[in-house]
Amino acid sequence: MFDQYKPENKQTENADMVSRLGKTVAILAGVLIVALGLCGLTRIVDTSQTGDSFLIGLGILELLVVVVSAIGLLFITPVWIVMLIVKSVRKPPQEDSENSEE
Amino acid sequence: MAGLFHPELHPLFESLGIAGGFATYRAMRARQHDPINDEHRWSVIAAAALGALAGSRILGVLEQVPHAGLHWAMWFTSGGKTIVGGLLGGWLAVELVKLLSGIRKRTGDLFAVPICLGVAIGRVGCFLAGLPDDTYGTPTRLPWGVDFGDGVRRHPTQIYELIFLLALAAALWQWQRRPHRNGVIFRGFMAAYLAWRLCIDFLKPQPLIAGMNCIQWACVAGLICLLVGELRGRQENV
Repeated sequence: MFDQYKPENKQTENADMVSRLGKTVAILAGVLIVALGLCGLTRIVDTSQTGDSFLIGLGILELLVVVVSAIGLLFITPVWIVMLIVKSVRKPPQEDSENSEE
Repeated sequence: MAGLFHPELHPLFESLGIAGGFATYRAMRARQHDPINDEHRWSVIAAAALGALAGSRILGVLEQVPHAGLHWAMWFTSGGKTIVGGLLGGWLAVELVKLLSGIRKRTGDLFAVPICLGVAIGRVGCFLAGLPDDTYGTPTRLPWGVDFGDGVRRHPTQIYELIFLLALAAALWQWQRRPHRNGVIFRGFMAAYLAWRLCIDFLKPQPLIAGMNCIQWACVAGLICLLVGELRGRQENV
């Protein structure tokens, strides 16, 4: 019942959290870059059909994705970096051996 | 031909390049052995993405300093990103994350061919962006010189780089299929690309500092780091 309070379980929890945060940061960065590219494409199409309400709506949606992913990155990246540092500080030295270069 | 060029095409090809590079990476990872586990791989990818974003922007802004000066608004205007800054920033960020995570294995081999293909796709966008992109070459009388809309025929340096990157991707692909030391493919890619940029940038009309532009100086710094890393690696193996 008290297994969950063991230090090694805490370390696994931290590792999972760092992995999930890293994945989130990578995905948000990818989404931000792709959304910026799509904004450019929508702007090109819009110059030939000025005032099209569908394109304006699409452009606003893309800008929203850009803003949301940028804000997400701004908040999650510092948390991820702090978690990485915490994990590296708590890591026992023997864990290094499994990662050593062959 | 001037109607072909459109600055807004650049971010589209940037996105296509990143998507294409990531798809290639996924396909290669499925076929080849990855030296690190999923948990560490995501940390490495996140560090590479953030480091590349920051590095490309920082060097892109520094590149404009000799002719535009340094002011805060430069950080928020569109454009002003460089591949060399992205590569060096991504590399530095990955090394920091590896240090924090206790990863001592070389992790970059799987990135080399995907980066080549991604940058090659991105260079199509640089070419189609025309004069505002600042990646064109100096004026030339050679038959393949391109008029980007100002009536001057210039070296299509973006196309030169596209051809170089495709050839480099093919060479790295062949190298990767043979037995090799872990990490040597990525270092080979970095050395080849930085050396290429050091040479090709002499064909670009960029402001110079002591005979070379900012990107060339960054290439020199990157090449020195690679050389020092290689010598240290050899000493440790002896």
